[in-house]
Amino acid sequence: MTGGADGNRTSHAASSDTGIGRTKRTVSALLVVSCISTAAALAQDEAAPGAFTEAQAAAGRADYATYCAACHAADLMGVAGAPPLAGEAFLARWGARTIGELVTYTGLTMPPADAGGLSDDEYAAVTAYTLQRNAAQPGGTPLTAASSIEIASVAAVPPADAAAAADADIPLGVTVAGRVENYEPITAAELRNPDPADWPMIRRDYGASNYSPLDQINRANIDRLELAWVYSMTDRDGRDQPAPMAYNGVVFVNNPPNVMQALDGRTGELIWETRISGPLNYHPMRGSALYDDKLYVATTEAHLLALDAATGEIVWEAVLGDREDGGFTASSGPIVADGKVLQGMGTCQQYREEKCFIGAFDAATGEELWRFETVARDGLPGGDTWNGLPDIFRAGGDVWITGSYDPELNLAFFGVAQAKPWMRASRQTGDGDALYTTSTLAIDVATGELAWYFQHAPGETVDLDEVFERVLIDDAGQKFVVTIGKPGIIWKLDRETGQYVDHAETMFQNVFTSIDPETGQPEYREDIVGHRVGNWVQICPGLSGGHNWPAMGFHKPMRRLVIPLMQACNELLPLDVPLEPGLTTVGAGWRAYELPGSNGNLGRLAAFDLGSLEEVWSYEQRVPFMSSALTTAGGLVFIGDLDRSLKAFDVETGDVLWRTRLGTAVQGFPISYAIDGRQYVAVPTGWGAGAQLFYVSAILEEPLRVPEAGSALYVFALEE
Amino acid sequence: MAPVALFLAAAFFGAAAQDTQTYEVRLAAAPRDSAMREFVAGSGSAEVTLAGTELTVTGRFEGLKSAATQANIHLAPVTGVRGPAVYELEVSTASAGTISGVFELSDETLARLDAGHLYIQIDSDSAPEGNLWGWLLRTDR
Repeated sequence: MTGGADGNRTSHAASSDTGIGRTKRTVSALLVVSCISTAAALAQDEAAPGAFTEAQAAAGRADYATYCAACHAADLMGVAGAPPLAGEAFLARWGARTIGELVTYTGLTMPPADAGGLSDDEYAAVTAYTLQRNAAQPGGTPLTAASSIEIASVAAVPPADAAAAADADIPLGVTVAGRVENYEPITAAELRNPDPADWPMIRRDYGASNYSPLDQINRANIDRLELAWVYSMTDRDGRDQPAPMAYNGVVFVNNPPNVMQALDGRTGELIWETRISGPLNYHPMRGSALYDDKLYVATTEAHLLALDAATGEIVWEAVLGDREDGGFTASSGPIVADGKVLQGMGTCQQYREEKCFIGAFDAATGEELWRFETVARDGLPGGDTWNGLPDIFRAGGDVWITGSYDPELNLAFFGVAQAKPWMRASRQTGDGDALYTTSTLAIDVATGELAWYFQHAPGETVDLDEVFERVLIDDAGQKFVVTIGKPGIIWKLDRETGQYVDHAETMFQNVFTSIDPETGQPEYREDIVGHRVGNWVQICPGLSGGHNWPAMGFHKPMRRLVIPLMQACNELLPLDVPLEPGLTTVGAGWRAYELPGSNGNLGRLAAFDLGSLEEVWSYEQRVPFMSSALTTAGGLVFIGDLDRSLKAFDVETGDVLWRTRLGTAVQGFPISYAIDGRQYVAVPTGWGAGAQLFYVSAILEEPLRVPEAGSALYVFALEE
Repeated sequence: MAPVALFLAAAFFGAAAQDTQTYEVRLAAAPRDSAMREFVAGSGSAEVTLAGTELTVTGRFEGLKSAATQANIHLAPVTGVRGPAVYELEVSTASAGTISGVFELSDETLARLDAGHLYIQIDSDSAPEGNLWGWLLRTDR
């Protein structure tokens, strides 16, 4: 089945710097700028005046928009692996170095698609603009690559960060006090077997099914679905991919940046709100977790907190990692298993001694109980798979999706992202497997020891993560873990042993020439593993996947996997990445294009039979789906897209039975719950979904207008 | 593709060589990043007909940011990957216009066509490495 492009299109850019969401903050931003300018001016008094000219900065503004903004973002805060060029992170890396070094480095490495391709004047101008955005003041001396001025002597925290700092005036902790009346602590037994009315964790259950057993809303009455209530979430810069939970009539939802709210699930009334410190760093908060009397949440700067679920008060706070060499992020959200809070980490691409890990923390106290590093160090098991690289240069292995848990086996299952830099030629790992990247890990929850691993793409080399949801399914007497990664390949493994069972390609792919039917071992296309720095490599699907964070739903009665897919390709340019401690880079340039044979349909939702893995139905549309697929016992699949549409599909046929349009992109993790016998469907909207939006903006001929404001939770129910 | 598979595809195609096969080709932007939208843009379509061993191409395009300079059929090592130009098409040297051409294909090229390894590419002044491209893919599979 093929659907046409939905929705209206305008000529406005999708991620315009002057979008609605930013406009409403202009007044406050100006006030902040005026306050900060004094401090910045004071800072300049001690510095050499005028490290660049006003004309250079003006020219650099235009050059930046043309060559840099696509990766580093209009506000210089960086997206898709490109580091921020403003604020504390920028100054931490470059503050002690000279302006000349920055010009030289930029000239050698940027823009990724054409490193060294700009003129000397253009590199100087871009650098001048970067410094200006970091509160440096222009003067009469032109900036050149010979400048020996230390960056920290002329630059300071820029207005954007100053605005965030000003927002720090907003009280942290419990900002709206309230109490969930008669809150009943949720037990381990309830987490193992949730009440049909509840949705107590991301993807609802330990098996990550995304399936609700509620059937009041069904194929026969879906046309009577109407809005019950809507609650606006905090509209702030940051990626918004929330995974709300519902327990005992209360909806718990996270907002960027690091805000948790409890809402009355029947009325949408706010019960309590807690704001947790942490930067706006374009990393979303996806999941949170409930256990006993606490709610667990990980922040964008990889702090893990326990809140009192009834009041939102902070009970304990732990920091993931020692932070000696910089920061980490956490976007996945925790899962509670066997009394432990399990949490993975992100932003692992920095060359540093400390590696990313999956950590277990005591649910009652926050004490760290164990950690499993996702990058194998030299001398440890798997440590000989990194081509002899010193440990400090073994990077990547992010765990940016919440894991799953099998209580009977007491095993937790996590996906691990790719090694960094993305491409072998850049990261210098040769043909090494680079364990434990691009793998499924089964970890003993009691000890933190690795029970088994299955590496889906040894030595992965084109940014095709296999990090996403691990769905635990028992079928025909076997225990399976099912997953799908960016290559768009469904993997079925025996979750007791890690043995490969089966796979299926869901879309055209040209990355692997074959996959061994006995072992699941893929064979890369020859020119992919033979790539060299400076030569473009084309891959389908591309960096957005295939499949990405919008999780599949497993419709249990029909034994169907309903999977959001994206049909786009990329060509990648491996860069020469120096082995320099502290360096943070993915080390590749990219361009995007439509998947051949997709007829320009970037979005696709398809259902596959669990047993045969054969496609049952498929629905295509111009814009990508941006939410997980919520399946229900009512025979429905709910899913939203970038163009603000929320649709309900018939899980049996793939027919669209109902649709509506919401305020902005429908993204995050829709859920269903019930209160006093009435079923609700809660759907988040928000902005800044990451890879999909980023690559779509390069492909679509008519850019979508996706409002940057409009983060909200829409809740639907049948008319009363 | 393995040599055996190529041989089988060629053999199959030889048997069906007298049939007419039509390819509807969507011409969309060649690989680009967001910044390249300023000079890599446009759209188009082409109808490609294979009668026996004769391939006929007719198409149109519009919306280029600069004048088209050349159009070719390219032979890729695999679908979705760039490859060298092998047949030159007639093209309007403007930001909108038509493409056309008639070619006699060898057995080997017929097999590659059947495998989805041929694509049309239009270059322009501002996008000499590809402005629009589209793949010749069978839709009956």
